[in-house]
Amino acid sequence: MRRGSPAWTNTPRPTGSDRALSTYRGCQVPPDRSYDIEGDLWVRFEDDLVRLGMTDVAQTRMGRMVSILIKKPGRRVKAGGSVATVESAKWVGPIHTPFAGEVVETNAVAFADDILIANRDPYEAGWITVIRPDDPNVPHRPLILGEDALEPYTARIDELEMSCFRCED
Amino acid sequence: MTIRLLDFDKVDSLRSLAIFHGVAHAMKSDDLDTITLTRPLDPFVSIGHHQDAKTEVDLEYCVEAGVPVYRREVGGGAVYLDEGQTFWHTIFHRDRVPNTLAEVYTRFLAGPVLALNRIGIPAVHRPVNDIQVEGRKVGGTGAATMGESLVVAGSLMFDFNYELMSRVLRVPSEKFRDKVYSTMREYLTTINRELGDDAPERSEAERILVECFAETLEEEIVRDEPRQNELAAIDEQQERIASEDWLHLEGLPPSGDSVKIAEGVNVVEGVHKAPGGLVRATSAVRDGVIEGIMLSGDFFFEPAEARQALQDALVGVEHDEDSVLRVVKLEMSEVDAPGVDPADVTAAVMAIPQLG
Repeated sequence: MRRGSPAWTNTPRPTGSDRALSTYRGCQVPPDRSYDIEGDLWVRFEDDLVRLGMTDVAQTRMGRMVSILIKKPGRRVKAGGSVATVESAKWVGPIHTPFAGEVVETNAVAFADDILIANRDPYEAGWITVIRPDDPNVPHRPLILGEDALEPYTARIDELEMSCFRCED
Repeated sequence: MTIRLLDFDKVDSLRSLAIFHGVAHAMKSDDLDTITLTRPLDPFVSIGHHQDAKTEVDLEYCVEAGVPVYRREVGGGAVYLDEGQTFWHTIFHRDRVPNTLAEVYTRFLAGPVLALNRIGIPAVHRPVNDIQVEGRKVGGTGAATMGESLVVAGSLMFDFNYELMSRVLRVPSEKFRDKVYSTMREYLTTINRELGDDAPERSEAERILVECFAETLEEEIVRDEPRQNELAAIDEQQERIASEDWLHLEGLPPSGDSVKIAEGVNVVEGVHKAPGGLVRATSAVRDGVIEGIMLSGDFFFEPAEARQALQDALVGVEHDEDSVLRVVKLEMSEVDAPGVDPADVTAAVMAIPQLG
């Protein structure tokens, strides 16, 4: 008999922030940002900039990171183009930006200090890059806002038949 | 869904890399999934996507020896390759591959493992991505997302030049190089080493590989020719891979003095400056346990035999600081080693970076 799907739960963030996290099969999807679900990417609008990072689903699927190369501040990026390449023990692949624009800041120093930072904390300390989009209204793929993302993410997590976990060491 | 086979046969080393990068980047969702075969005509060094060429490879030696160095878009370490290998690449659309990397490797390594079995080598898939025969690796594999495709890369390793492989690496010492060489001889094998005179003709082994891919992927495989857009993409990739900018990619993270030989097998070198002199430890570590270790440097042990005794005592010890320190303390309890205490030796064995 097929077991019933687990429901989303809201749990307080353990590190002290009062921001709630929605969790499904161990995969956290904070409602305070937007998602490119197909690309397993989160996007947070900060005035005229956007901050990007990998979702919990992405870091789980990739496994322990061993390396990351992020395009430097000042570089132009195309919508849907690669803004970083990540390497885990068994795979290499790009991180795509939803917007054309200019890289204004990267988290390369934090990754140099702790390459597992996005495995441990993909939504805060493990952000990847900040971009000044040419037009924040024209993403490469549709971005889904906060809580609206929970339903499609449920479908995606079910389809992937996965549960998320974090690297602890 | 039918799978295409693009058999490029013998091509120069640069082209052998450009082919799978080009076919992969050209793939769209309507295209048939593809397997490519190439044999490089000349030796070359292939470095991992995120490796720094000048710290991983002895570029001066490579220039002198006429061995080109190219960066690939697949991860892992630097490797010396030549006409002794046939490279295979499965290039499948990302929507038509399993969801997890473990499943991807299980699916795409089944064919090569079956092919090795069929030619008489009892190879097995050791997850995540090693193909091994009796504990020794036979050929390397890797995976990468390129454009819309997921590529799994591997080789039929007929021969492997262990000596030149250890020669082209930039290593901290000649002792380290010797250790890399001997560990590779122990943990990497080839079709010809396994089968000797019974090894099949190369073309026959390649035919069996394709047959086994068809059986394990449960699809028909048809020979085809590259399309114009693929040829254009291959040319474009060839230009990129040959460029200095791509070889000397900027912003790469630093790497340590460690060479991975096979899944769970590494050669590690640590150097620690103790008040009594430099302590250098070159270790082969397998699944977290020290398999062999050499202590050298300009420190002084009395009695002199104590150094060998310590090396012997460390074999079989877990490669973690507490376990190593416990053994070193015990072995050095009656040793006169001016200016070198057990913590110094442990720091070298653990390759602990020095502060300051």
